[in-house]
Amino acid sequence: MTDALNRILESLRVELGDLPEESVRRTIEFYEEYFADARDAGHSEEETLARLGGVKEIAAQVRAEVAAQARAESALSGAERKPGPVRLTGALRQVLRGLAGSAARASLVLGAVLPYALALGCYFFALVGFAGALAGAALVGYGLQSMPNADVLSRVSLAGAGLLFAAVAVALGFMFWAAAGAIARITLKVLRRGVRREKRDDEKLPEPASARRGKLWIAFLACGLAAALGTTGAFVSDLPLRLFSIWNSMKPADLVVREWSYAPEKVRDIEIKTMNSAIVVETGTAGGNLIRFIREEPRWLGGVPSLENGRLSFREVSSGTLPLMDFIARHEGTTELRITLPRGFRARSVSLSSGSGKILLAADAGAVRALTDSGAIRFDGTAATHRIRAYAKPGRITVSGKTQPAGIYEAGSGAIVELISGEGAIEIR
Amino acid sequence: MDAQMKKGVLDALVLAILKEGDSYGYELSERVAAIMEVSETALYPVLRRLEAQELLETYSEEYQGRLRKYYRLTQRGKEKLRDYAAGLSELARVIEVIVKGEKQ
Repeated sequence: MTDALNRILESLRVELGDLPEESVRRTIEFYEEYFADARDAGHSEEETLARLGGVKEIAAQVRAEVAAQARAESALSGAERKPGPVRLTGALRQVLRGLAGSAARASLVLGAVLPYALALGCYFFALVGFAGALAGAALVGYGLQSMPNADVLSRVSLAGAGLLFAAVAVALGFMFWAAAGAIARITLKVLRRGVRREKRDDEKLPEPASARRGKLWIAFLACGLAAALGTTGAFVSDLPLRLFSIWNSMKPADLVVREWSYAPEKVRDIEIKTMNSAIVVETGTAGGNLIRFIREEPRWLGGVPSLENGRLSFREVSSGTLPLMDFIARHEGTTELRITLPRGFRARSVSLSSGSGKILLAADAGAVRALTDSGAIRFDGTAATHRIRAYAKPGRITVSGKTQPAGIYEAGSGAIVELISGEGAIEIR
Repeated sequence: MDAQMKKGVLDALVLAILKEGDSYGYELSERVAAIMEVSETALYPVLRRLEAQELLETYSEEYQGRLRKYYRLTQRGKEKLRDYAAGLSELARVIEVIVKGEKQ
């Protein structure tokens, strides 16, 4: 080796100083051979160096290439160890920058762009899922503190529904995240073609696939457990029924109005039980001496009033047109059953019961009993001559416009009026 | 030719030259220089990158008492060259039209 070549290689070594030893060694080897071959072809070291543009130029070219490859390599191996939207994007950017200007870039871009976009889309949906779960949890918290009067069941129902929603959202999030990871790996595989894997001692061994799968299973199991808890909570209460009734109430009404009349002297007691139709008992203003029984009947409900031994009774039943009949009927609160009594008529007893319909009693009677699971009750009229026992909780009880403490209200003396509402309010005038 | 354009086809040119037979650094440089004017220092980074991508591999042979590093196209390199050729033949038609137009 000539002194001139030695000097050139030495200054090249200095210029490349901070690059990895392997890169420096290979570069020196390449140019040592290059200068030797040039010399054999009759070109002096100075001549060749001038053609190459100087030591600094050689070093700059190598440095740019090594740096780009190193950045691409570290971005890529980082993303391969733990894919995520940010790492994936970083790897794509660095690899493409490392290949700037080379023809290899175009084919890499074409191969990587579709899986990259897909992965990014999946990551987006995963994040939406996680955000949705957080929002669900926040809504539950807000809901729980905004219903101070609610009973335990309602609270369990709300918490359960929230938990169910959050669990589904988290599970979806995990699913999308896993899918995104798989697609990201495809993208990285494509990108890997542009970058050689350089073995490094500090490189951690990738986590075995079985361990990763184990973690995923735990996550899914947790989601499943939360979903089961949420479902139980929601079903303990009647949340699904409420949702069903909302859906049901959006259907167009399909009612027929049916009417019956009875001579008042034949009726002593009235006993009505509906699934959920509202019940109105009132004293008629328009003349007429008959007891009129008018009822709106949807396709899925049936029942015919009967009069026996002075007892006018009616029981609303399923018409059997739908298997989910009772289900629907219980939550169809839009139909009404109206009984108009002639002036001066006073039944010995009136017993009204509705699943979720409201009850309005605006007529004189002996004993009165009104019962509803979730409807409101209004009792107009003869409060002064009756002994009223009303029970409503969490609903409110108002008597002549004044709100009573929730729970039992008792007043007056005389014939007993019993008003009981599961969740609705009771109003006594 | 535009510097960026040259850099873009240099990868493909090196692969094409090696398709004809194995070669070493200085000879490659000479053959590239005979075809297109490009900074001679640009060759080494290209070789380094193509090797990293496993498009070519190296082996050493003794020559006049010293070792010479030869570059050889791998199977992947041959496939890559075919891809490039397909892509560039379209460019060649474009160039033909441009050159013809210039001459008229």
